Amino acid sequence: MESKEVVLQTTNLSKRYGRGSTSPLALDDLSLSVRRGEIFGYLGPNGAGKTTTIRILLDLIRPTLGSAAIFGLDAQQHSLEIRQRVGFLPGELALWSGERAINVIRYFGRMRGGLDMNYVRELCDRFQFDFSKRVRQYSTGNKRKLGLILAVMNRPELLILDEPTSGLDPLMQQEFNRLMREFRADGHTVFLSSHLLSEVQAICDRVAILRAGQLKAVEHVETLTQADFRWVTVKVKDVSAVADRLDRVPGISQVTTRHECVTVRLQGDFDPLLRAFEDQYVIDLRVKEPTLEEIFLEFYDDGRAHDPTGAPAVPSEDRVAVMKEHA
Amino acid sequence: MSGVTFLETVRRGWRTMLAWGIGLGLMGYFQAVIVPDADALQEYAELYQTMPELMEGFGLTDAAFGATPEGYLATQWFSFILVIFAVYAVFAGLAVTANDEDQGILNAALALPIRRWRFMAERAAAYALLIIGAIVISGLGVWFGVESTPALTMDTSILIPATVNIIPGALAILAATVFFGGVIRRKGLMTALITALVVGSYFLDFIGRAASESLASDLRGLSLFRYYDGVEVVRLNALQWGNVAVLLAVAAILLVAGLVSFQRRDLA
Repeated sequence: MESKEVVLQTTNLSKRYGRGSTSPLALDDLSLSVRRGEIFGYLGPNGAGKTTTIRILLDLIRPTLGSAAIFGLDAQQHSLEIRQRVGFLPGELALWSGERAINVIRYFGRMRGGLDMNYVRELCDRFQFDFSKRVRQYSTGNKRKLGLILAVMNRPELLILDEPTSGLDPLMQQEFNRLMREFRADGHTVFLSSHLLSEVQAICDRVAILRAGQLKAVEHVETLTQADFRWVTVKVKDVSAVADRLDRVPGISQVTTRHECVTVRLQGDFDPLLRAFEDQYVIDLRVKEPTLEEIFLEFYDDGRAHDPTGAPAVPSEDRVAVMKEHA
Repeated sequence: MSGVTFLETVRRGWRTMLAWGIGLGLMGYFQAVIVPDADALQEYAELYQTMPELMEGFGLTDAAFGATPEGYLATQWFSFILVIFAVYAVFAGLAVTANDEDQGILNAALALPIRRWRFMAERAAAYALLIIGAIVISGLGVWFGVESTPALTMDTSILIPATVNIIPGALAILAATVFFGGVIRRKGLMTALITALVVGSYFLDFIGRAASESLASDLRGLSLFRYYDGVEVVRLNALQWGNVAVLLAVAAILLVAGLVSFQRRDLA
C-alpha cells in the first residue's frame, strides 16, 4: 500500500535546548520523509533525538532551525489542522491519575470531534484492557495500552508513536503489530520511534537511524537486516590452540583472544564455528547481538565494524547466555 | 472542539470547589454564630481601639462601626477572607497548566486538536467559574450564620456586595498564577514566585495601612490587596467600582500575557 505521497517531511530540522550556541544540538540538520501507507521506524539509542523530533512534529516544541511538514502543512503554522488528523502516543504517557480511563477516553474522543464506542470496546477487547479503573490503578503495561487506545481510537491518518511497545508483554506486542499492519493495510501511515531493532524489524517498512541528533541512515528493513551478525565469546581451557585456526573458519572475522576467552564476529551459521572447537573443552559460550551502531557501521562502513584500537567492539548487553558446560 | 476542555475542567473541579465553598462557608457560619450578644461586639470594638495600628491594618478606621454587627463581620470575615481564597486561586491557577506540564500530561493533552492558548483560556475560565462558585457558597454560609445569630441583627443584603467584592481579587490572583504558568516552565519556580507575590502583596498592604507614614504606605498601590477593601464595601453597602475595575484589568492583562507566552514557548 506504500505510495509516493509524502505524509511527513522534515527539512534541515535542528533543535538546540537552552540559550547560546554552546549548548549541544539535540537534533542536527534532520531531513527525512515518510510516505503514505508505510510504517516508518525511527530508530536510535536513548537520547538520540527521537522524542525531540516527535515533539517538533506536534508543535510541542519549536525548532531552532529548519522546518517540518505533515500532510504538506507546516507543523508550526498549521499545527491545529495537523493534530486533527494525527494520533499520538508519548514515550512516557502521563494522564490525570485520579480520572477513570473511560473519562479520559471520552474527553479525548470529544476533543477529536466524536467517539466510536464500538471501536473503543473492540480495541479494549483486543488489548485486554478494562477502562473502568482510575488511571493510577493501572500497571505500566496497562497505561501503555490506554495510551495506544487513545492514539488509535479515532483512526487517524497518521499515527506518531514514541516507543509504543515499552512495557507491553509479548502477546500484547504481537497484538500491537497486528493492529499496525491493519492500519497500513487501510492506507494509514505510522511513524514509530524505538530503540529496539527487533521491534522495528517486526513491522516497519523503512527505518531511519538516528544517533546523537544526526540522521545516519534511512533504509528498507530488509536491507538493514542483511547486515545481521553476532559477537560470540567462547571460553576454553587452551585458547592458543584454536585462535589461529579460527581465522580460516567461514563467517568468522575479527578474532581476539583475552585470557581464556576468544571473541569472534560471526556472520552466518554457527556450525563452522562450533566445529572449530570440537577438540576443545568449552567452559562457556556467549552470544551477543550487535548494537544499532554496529549494524549501521557494518552496513555503511563496508563491513569494517570495529573499534579503532583494533579490539572487537564490546557489545553493551548480554542478550543470550547460551550454554555452560559443567565440569 | 469548542468548550470541551472548559466543561471537562468544571467536571473535574466541582468537587474541590464544593469542598472549599462548604469549608469556608462553615468557617463564615461559625464566625457569625460565635457572637453571644451585642455586648460582645462592643468588647471587640474596644479591643481594637487599644490597638489602633492593628485596627487600621484590617481596614477599620471607625471604632463605632466596629461595634456594629456589620463592622464585626467586616473585620472578622471580609477583611481577610481574600487571603484564604487566594490560596484556592493559586491552587486553581496551578491546575490550569503548571501541574499538567510538570507531570508531562500536556504532551498528550496538547497533541489533541486545540490551540494552546485556547486550552489555557478554557481551563482558566473553568477555574474562574469554580472560584466564583466557592465564594458564593461561602457567602451563603455567612448568611446562614447571621440569620441564626440574634446578636447580629442587620440588613443581610450587605452580604451580597461584600461577597461579590471577593471575586475580582481572587480572579486577579488566579490570573497571576496562570500568567506565571504561561511564562515559566518550571513549576517549582513559578509556585515560589506566585507565593511570594501573594504573601508579599498582602503584607505590603497590611503594613501600609497600619503605618501610614512608612515606605510600605507609599508602595501600597503595588499590592493587589490594596484594591480589596472588605470593610469599606460593608460600611458603604456598595462595591467600589474603581477597585473592581483595577483588579479585573490586572486579571485580564496577566491572563492575556500568560496566554501569549504559553502559545509561543516550548513545553517542558
